[in-house]
Amino acid sequence: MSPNLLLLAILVPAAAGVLALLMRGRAGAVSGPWALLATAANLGLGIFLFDKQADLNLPWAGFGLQFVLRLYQFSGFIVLATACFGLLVALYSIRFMAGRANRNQFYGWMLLSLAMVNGAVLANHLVVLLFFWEGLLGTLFAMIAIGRPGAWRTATKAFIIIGISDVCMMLGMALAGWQAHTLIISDIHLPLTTSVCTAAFVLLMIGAISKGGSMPFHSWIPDAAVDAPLPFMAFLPASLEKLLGIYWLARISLDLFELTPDAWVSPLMMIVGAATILLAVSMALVQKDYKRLLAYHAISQVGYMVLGIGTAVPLGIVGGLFHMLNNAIYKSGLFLTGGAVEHATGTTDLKQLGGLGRRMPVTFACFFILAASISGVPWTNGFFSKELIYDGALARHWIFYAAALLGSVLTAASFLKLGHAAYLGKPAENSDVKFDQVREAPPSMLLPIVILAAACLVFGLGNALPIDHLIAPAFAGTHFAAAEHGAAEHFAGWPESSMLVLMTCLALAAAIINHLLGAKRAGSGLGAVDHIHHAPGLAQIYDAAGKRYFDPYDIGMALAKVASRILWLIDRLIDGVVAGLTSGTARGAGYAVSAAHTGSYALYVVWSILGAAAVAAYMLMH
Amino acid sequence: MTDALLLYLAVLVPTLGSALLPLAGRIRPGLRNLLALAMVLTPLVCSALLLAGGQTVTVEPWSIFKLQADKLAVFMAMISSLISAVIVLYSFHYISHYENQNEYYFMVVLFLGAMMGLVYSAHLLLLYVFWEITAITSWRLIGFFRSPKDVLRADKSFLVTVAGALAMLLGFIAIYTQTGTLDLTRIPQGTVLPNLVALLVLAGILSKSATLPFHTWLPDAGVAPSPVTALLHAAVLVKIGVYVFARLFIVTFALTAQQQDWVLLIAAASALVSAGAAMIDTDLKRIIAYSTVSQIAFIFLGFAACPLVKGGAGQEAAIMGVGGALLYILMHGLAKGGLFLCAGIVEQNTHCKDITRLGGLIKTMPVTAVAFLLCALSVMGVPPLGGFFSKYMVISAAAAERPWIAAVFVVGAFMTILYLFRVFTMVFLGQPRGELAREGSYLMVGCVALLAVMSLAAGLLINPPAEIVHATVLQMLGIVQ
Amino acid sequence: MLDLFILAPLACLILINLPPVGSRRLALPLAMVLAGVQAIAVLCLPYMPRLDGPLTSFFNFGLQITPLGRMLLLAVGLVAFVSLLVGQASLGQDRRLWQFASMMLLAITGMNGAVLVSDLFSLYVFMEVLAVCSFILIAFNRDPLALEGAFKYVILSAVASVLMLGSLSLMLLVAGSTGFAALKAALAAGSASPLLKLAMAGFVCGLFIKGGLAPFHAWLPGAYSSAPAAVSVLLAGVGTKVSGLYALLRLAMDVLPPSAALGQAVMVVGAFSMVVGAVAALVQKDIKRLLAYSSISQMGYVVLAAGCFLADAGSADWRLVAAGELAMAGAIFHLFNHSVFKSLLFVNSAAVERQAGTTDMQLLGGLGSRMPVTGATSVIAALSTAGVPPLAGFWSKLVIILALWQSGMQAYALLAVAVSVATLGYLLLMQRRVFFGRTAPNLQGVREGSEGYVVAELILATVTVLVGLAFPLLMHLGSFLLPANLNL
Repeated sequence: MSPNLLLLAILVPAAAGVLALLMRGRAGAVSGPWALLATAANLGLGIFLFDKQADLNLPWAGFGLQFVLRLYQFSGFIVLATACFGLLVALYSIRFMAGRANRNQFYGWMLLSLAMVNGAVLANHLVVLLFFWEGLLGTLFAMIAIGRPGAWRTATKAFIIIGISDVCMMLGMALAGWQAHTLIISDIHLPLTTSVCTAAFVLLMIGAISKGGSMPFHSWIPDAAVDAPLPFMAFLPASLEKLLGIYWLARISLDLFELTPDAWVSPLMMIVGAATILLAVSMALVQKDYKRLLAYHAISQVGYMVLGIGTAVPLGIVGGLFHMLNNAIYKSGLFLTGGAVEHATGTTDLKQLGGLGRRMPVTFACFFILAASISGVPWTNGFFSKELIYDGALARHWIFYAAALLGSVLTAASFLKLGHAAYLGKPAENSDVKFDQVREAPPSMLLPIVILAAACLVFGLGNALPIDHLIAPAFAGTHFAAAEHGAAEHFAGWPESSMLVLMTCLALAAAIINHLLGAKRAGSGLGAVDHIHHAPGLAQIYDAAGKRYFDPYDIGMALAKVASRILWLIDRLIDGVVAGLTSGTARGAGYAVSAAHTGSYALYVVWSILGAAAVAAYMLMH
Repeated sequence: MTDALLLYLAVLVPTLGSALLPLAGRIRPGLRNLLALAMVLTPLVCSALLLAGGQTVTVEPWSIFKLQADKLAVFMAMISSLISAVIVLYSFHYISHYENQNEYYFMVVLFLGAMMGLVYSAHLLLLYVFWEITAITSWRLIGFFRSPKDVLRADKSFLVTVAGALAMLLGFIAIYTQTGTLDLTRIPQGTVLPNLVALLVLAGILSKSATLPFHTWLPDAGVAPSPVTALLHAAVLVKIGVYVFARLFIVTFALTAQQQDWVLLIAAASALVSAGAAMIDTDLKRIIAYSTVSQIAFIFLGFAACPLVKGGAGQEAAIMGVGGALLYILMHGLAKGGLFLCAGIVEQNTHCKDITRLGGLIKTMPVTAVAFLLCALSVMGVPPLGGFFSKYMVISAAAAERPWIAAVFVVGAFMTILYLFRVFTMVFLGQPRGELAREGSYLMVGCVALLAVMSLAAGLLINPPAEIVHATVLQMLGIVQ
Repeated sequence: MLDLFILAPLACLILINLPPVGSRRLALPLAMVLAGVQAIAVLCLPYMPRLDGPLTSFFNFGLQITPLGRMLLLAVGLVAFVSLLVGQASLGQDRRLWQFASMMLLAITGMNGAVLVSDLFSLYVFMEVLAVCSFILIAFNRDPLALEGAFKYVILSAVASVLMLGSLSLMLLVAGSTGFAALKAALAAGSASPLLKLAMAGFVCGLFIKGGLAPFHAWLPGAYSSAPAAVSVLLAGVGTKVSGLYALLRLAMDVLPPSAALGQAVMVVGAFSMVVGAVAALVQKDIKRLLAYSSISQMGYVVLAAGCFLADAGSADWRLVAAGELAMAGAIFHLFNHSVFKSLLFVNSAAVERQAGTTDMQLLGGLGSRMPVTGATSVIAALSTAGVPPLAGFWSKLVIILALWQSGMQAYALLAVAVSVATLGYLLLMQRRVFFGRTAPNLQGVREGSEGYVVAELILATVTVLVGLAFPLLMHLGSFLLPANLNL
C-alpha cells in the first residue's frame, strides 16, 4: 500500500468539507447527501486502512518540522471508529438538519473536523499532531456558533477553554521534543523522573483531558448542549473528541512517557478522574433538560477513562480505552435519542415531556439499552469496561474504587429519572407539546440509533472482539507489553472478581430503590432525585452551581480581568513616567528658568559679572 | 539587469521618487495613486528578483552609502513592500475622503523607501539616517488628521522614537570607538558589546519597536488613519526595531547570556503588560496596537531565546528560534495589517472606534468580519493559519533553553486569545447597537480579504516561506554562506 | 585679495551714501550683490591667487584666512544676502531700505574684518563696529520694545567691552603684543603669569557675553525678538557668531594653550547654555523668543565642543588629540549649520509675522496648509536644528557627540543627546502651535508670504538639505567643510 494513501484520509473529508461550505443558499439541500457520501467514502477508507501499517514522510515547514504520518493498529482503530461515527451522524443529520439555513456550514465544518481528527490521529510528529489538534478549535467554534442565536457566547467559551489548553500542549510538546531530541512521536520515550519531563507530561495531559472534556475544562459542554445543533453534541463532545483526547492520553501514558504507578502524575490523574466522575454526575443528577443531563454525563464518563489510564496498571488502562470506545457508542446514541425526541416534540425540557415510550417505541427501546450500558448493567459493554476500571482502581487504592462505584450509582439514578420522566408516566400537563401528534422519528434518524444500541450489546456480549482486536494491539511495543507478558489475554470475558460484580449489582439495586422511593415521594419520575437535590447542605451547593459560581471558566475570566486591570495600571504608570514625568520635569524647569528672567538690567549684569568671576577664579586656581 | 541595479532601484525609486508624487497629484490624483503603487511595487519586484538571484549583492558607490542585499535584507524588504502595496491599494479609497492626500502619498512612499534603505544598508550611519527618515514620515502620517490631539500624539511618537534613536546613536558611536568602523561588513562576526553599549542600542530598538517601557506611543498613535496604523504598527515601523535587532545582535554582534536575559525579561514584561492593557482598553485601534506590542515581544523571544552556538542541539534551537521569529515577522505583518485595515473599514463606516458601542456588525459586514476573524486567529496562532507555525517555533526555541520564559510567554499566548476574542465578539457578534453600517467599498474589502487569504495560505502552504526563512537563518548564523 | 572682503563693503557703503541721491534706490540691490558675490568668492577662494592688498601691505593688519574663517565668510555672505532679501520684503520705503542697506554694509565690513584679522585688538575693534551696527539695527523701528532690546544689548555689551578692553590692556602689559602668535608664545612659555591667565579669562568671558552664552545671555532673547525681522535673521544667523563664537574658536585654536582646566571651564559654560536655552525654550509663547533661546542652546553645543578641543589638545594620547580636533571640526561645522537653519527659522517667523500679524504662538495654528513653503521649510529647519538626519544639523551634532564620546566624556555626550531631544520637543511644540494642526478660523485668509520670503526660505532650506545629503561625500573627500578628515 502506498503511504500516500494516508493523505487521502485527510484530504478527502477536507475537500468535501470545503465544497460543502461553498454550497450556499439553495445548493444547501445537496449538502446533506454530499456529506453522507463523503463520510461513507471516509469510512471505506477507514476500513481499508484498518489493520495496515504505513509511514509517510513529506517535507513541510522545514526546521525539522516534517509531515510525518504513521498508520498502525491503534491509529487505524481510532480512524475507523471516528469514520463510523461520522457516517452515523451524517445519516442522522439529513433529516434533523433539513431545512435549516446554515446546514451546509454544519456539514462543511463537520467534514473538516473529521479531516482534522484523522490528521491528528495519524500524525507521527508532534507539530503535525498539534496542527490538526488545534485546527479543531476553528471547526468547533464554527459548529457551535451556527446553533441558535446567541450561541456564539458558548462558542467563544469553548474556544477559549480549549485554546488555552492547546497552548499548554504546545509548550508541553516543545519541552518533550527537546528532551527527546526528536519530534517524531514514535521515537519519543521519556522517563517520568525529571521535573522537565514531568512538566511536559502534565502539559500534554492538560491538552488531552481538555479535549476529552474532563474537569476543569468541561464547562462549555453543558452550554453547548443547549446552544449548538444537536448532532454536533453526538459528533464532537460525545464521540470524536473523546476518542481523540483519550487516544492521546493513552499515547502519552504508554508511548511517549513511561507512566508507572510510582510517578506522582498517576495519582494526579486518578484524582482528576475521580473528581470529574463525582462532580459531573452530581450535576447531571439534578438537570431538568434532556440534553444538559446528557452533557454532564459526557463529562462524568471521561472521568472513568482518565481514572482508568491514570491507574498505570494494564487492567485500568485497557478498561479506560475500552470505556472510551463504549462511551462514544452509547453517549452519541443517547444524544441521538435526545435529538429524536426534540425532532418529534420540539423540546427537550423534561418538565414538558412524559409518556413518549408508547408513541416512540423504537427510540425508547434503544434508549433503554443505551442507558443500561452507561449505567453498567451486566452484559452491556459499559459493564465490562467499568469492571476493568474498578479492578485497576482497586489495585491502587480503594478510595478510587469507591468514588467510581458511587459515580455508577448516581449515573444509574439519573438515567432512571431521565427515562422515567421522558418515556414513562403520563404526558406532562400544561405542556406546549401536542402529544397526540408525536410520531416516531423517521428511519434515517432511527437507523443510527439502532445501530449504536446494537453495538452496545454486541460489544458487551462479545467483548473479546473489541478488547483483543482493537484495544490490546495498542499495547504492542509499549513498556507495559514488555513488563507483563501476555497480560492482554486476560482482559476479555467475564470479570474475574465476582466480588466486584456483586458490588456493581448492589450499586444498581441501590439506584433502583432510590428511584422508586424518590419517585413515589415526589409523585413523578422527574422528581425522583429531588430528595438529594434539596437535601440540607446540598441544596445550597446546587444552588450556587446553578448560578455558575463554580464554573472554572467564569472564575478564570474573572481572575484574568483582575490581572488585566493590574497590568493595565502598570501600563498607565509607565506611560505616566515616560511621557508625563519627563515632559513635566522639563516643563517645570522651563518655567523656573523663565521666571528667573525678570527683565531687570541689574540682575542680568550681576549674572554676567558673577559668571565672569567664577570663570576667572577657576582659571586662576588651576 | 544586474543585481546591483536592482538593489539601487529598490532603494532609490521610492525614496527619490516619492518627491514626485505631490507634483503628480497636482496634475491628476489618479496618476499620483498609480505612481505611488508602482513605486511601492518596484522594491517588491526588485527584491523578489534579488531573492531569485540568491547571491549576496553589495554596492558601495561612495562613503557611507553602502548597500548590501543578503537574504535577511531581501526577506524583510519583500515583506514590508508586499504589505505596503496592499495598504497603498486600500488607501486609494480610504484616503480619498480627506485633505492633504499629496502629502499622504509622499510620506507613505518615502516611508517605505526609507524602510528599504534601512534594510539594505550595510553601514550603521546610513542605517541611522534611514531610521530617522522613517521617524519623520511617521510623525507627519500620525498627525494626518491634524486635530490638536492627533498632532500631540504624533509629537509624542516622534519624541520617544527619536530619544531612543539618539541613545542608539550613542551606542553606534561606542561601537565605532570599539571597532574602528561602522561598516557592518567589516565588523568581525560575533563581536561582543559591553553592557552599556548593548543597552544603548537596545533603547533605540525598543523605542522603535514599541516595547516596554517605550511602548505607549504606539497605542496613542492609533489616532492616525487606518492604513497608516497598519503601515506603522503592522507592516513596517515596528518591524524596523526587530530587523535591526536581528541585523546587529544576530548577524553582526553576539549578545552575552546576561544580555539575552535582559532582552527576554523586557520582552516578557512587554508581552504581559500590553496584553493586559488590550484586555481593558475599549478603543478598537488601541487594542490592536497593544496587541502589536505584545506580539513584538514574541519576535524578540525568538531572536533572543537561544545562545547562538554552532553545532549540536544548541544550534538546532537557535535556528528554530531565529527562524520562528522571522516567520513571525511575516505572519504577524500579514495578519495585523489585516486587522488594522478591518478596523479602518469599521471606523470609517460606523464613525465609532469604541467597542462598547459597536456590535453585531457581522450581519452587515460579513466579509470584513470573517477577514478579521481569520487574521485574529492567525495572531492567536491557531492552525491552519500561518501564525501557528511562528508561534510554535518561538515558544519551542524558548522551551529548549529557558523553560520558564517559555511558560511566561504561554501565558501571553492565552491572553492573546482572550483579548482578540473579546474584540471580535464585541464588535462583530451580539446585538447590533446603533445604526448598522454598510460593508466597505469593494477595493477596501478586497484588500482585507486579500490579507486574510494570505494569512491562511501562508499556513496551508507553509513550505515556500519556511524554505526561504530556513535559508535566511542559515546565512544569518553563518552556518552557510 | 583678502582685503577686498573688508574694503569692498566699505567702498559700497561710501558709494551709496554719496550724492547723487538717486543711487539710494540702488543701495539694497548693491548690498545684495555684494553679499552674493562674497558667498561665491569664498567658495572660489582656495583657487585664487594670493595677492596682498593695501591693508596687508600698508597697514600691516596681518589678514589671515583659516578654514574656520572661510566657513564664517561664507555664512556671512549667505545670511546677509537672505537678510537683505527679507529686509526688502518687509521694510517697504526706499529711504528705510537705504538706511538698512547702509547699516548692513557696515555690519558686513565689521564681520569680515573680525574674521580676517590676526590680532586680538583689531578683532576687538571690528567686533565693536559690528556691535554698533547691531544696536542701531535692533532699534531700527524705534518702537519701545525694540529700544528696550537694543538698550539691554548696549548695557551688557558695555560689560563685555570693559572685560575685553581690560584684558587687552593686561595682555599688552604682560606679553607686549596682542598678535595671536605673540600671545600664544607668551602663554605657552611654561609658567604664564597669573595676570595673563586672568586677562585671558576676562577676554573669554567678554566673548561669552557677546556670544550670548548662559549665564551671560540675558540680552539675547530681548534683542532677537524685538528687532525687525531682517535684523533678527542677521543677528541670529551670523552676528553673534562672529562677535562671540568665532573669536572664541579662533582663540582656542590659535592662542590659548592646551589646558584641561580651561577646557573644562568652557565646557561647563557650554553645557549650561545648552541646557538652560533648551529648557527655557520649552515654555516660550512667542516664536522669536523661542528661537532666541534655541540659539543660546545651540551655541552651547559649539562651546562645548570647543572646550572639548581645549581639554584634549594637550593630551599625550594621540587618539585624544584626534578626538579634540574632531570636536573642533564639529564646532565649526555646527556654527555654519546653525547660521543656515536658524536664519531660516527666523525668516519663517518673519513671514508668519508679516502674513498673520503676530508671532504669539497661542494666536496661531495650522499655517502649514496656508503657507506651504514656509511650513515645509520650517519643518526642515526645525529638524535640522534638532539634529535629525538626513539634514545638515545631524552631521554636525554627530561629529560633536562622537568627539565627546571618544574623548571619554560620555556624560557630556549623553547630555548633548538629551538636549537634542528637548530641542526636538520645543521645535515640535512650535510646529504644532504654528504650522501643523488645523488652521485656526481667524487665519483662514492667510496667504503665503511675498517672493522675498519664499526665495530666502528656499535658498536656506536647499543649503541645509544639500549639505545634509552630501555630507558623507564631503566627509569622504576630507574637504572644505571639515579640516579634520573623518573616516567613519
